[in-house]
Amino acid sequence: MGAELVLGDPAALVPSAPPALLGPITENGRTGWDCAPERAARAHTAAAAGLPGD
Amino acid sequence: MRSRAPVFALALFAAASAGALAQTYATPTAAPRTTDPRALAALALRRELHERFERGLAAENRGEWAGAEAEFKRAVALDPPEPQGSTARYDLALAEANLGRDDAAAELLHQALHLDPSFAAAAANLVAIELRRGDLPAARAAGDRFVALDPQAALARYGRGLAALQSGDLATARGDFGTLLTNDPAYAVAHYDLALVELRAGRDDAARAELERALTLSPAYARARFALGTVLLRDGQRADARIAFDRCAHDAADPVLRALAADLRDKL
Repeated sequence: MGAELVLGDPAALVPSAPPALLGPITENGRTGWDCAPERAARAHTAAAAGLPGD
Repeated sequence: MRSRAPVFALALFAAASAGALAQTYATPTAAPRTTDPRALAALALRRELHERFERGLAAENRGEWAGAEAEFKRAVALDPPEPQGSTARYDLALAEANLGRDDAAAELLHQALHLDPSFAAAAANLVAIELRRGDLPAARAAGDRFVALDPQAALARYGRGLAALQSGDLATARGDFGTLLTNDPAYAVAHYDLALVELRAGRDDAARAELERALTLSPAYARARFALGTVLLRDGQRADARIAFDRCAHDAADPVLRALAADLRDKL
């Protein structure tokens, strides 16, 4: 990414990182209070969802 | 008239004693035994499935993805009922993704969602994998599915927003980052991504406002500082742009961004 390209084309600015993968789930499945990945997937805030910080 | 109180009290005592006895387990219930071959096969399958999950999860927690892959492949081959069927595929997908086999991981997550259409964690990981491998149409389709499943989920809005932004659907991207910010106005990254949406739409003033919000929330956010510098420079504010690039060159952890900011600063 060159300086001139960035100035001339706003699309050259890079979006934030893709979300990280959620972790493993036990044989009990996604239901229940202790399934952290499912809770993160349905969280409404960035921190609870584990979204990137930059 | 004779009182009936003693008789009544005795009846109450008897009823209470019977209740107490009914709740007493003097001897443990004998384990169910069977000689039925189908029942024995089902028991053996449950035991093996339990063991495969235990070993597979232990391997994933240690980062031994090849070991986890072997355990969950066997678990999937056992064709367990729900919820183990979709869960085994989800866990196997995680192993495949960490082994660099994103195609296999995506296919397994599709299978998991076919078995359990409300499996939000599987929907989230499918979006993440499609974004990671740069398949924007697939990422968009996965994002649409996830948003339909849970419209307020931050991961759903973030993932689909990124897919829409990168594929030029600015209206959808604006809506997704906007919803994310309605639920979580302090998330600086969504302000940054929304700024990129506005920049691509040619709305520099709106972009600048979003970048300033991002930097108020997170002053050392180098990527947002860099983007602000480009907006200021296009607007002819060279001195302010130089300050922004200089700050970015100091704050950026990414060496490419740091070098680019220093280059632009030095040219001003």
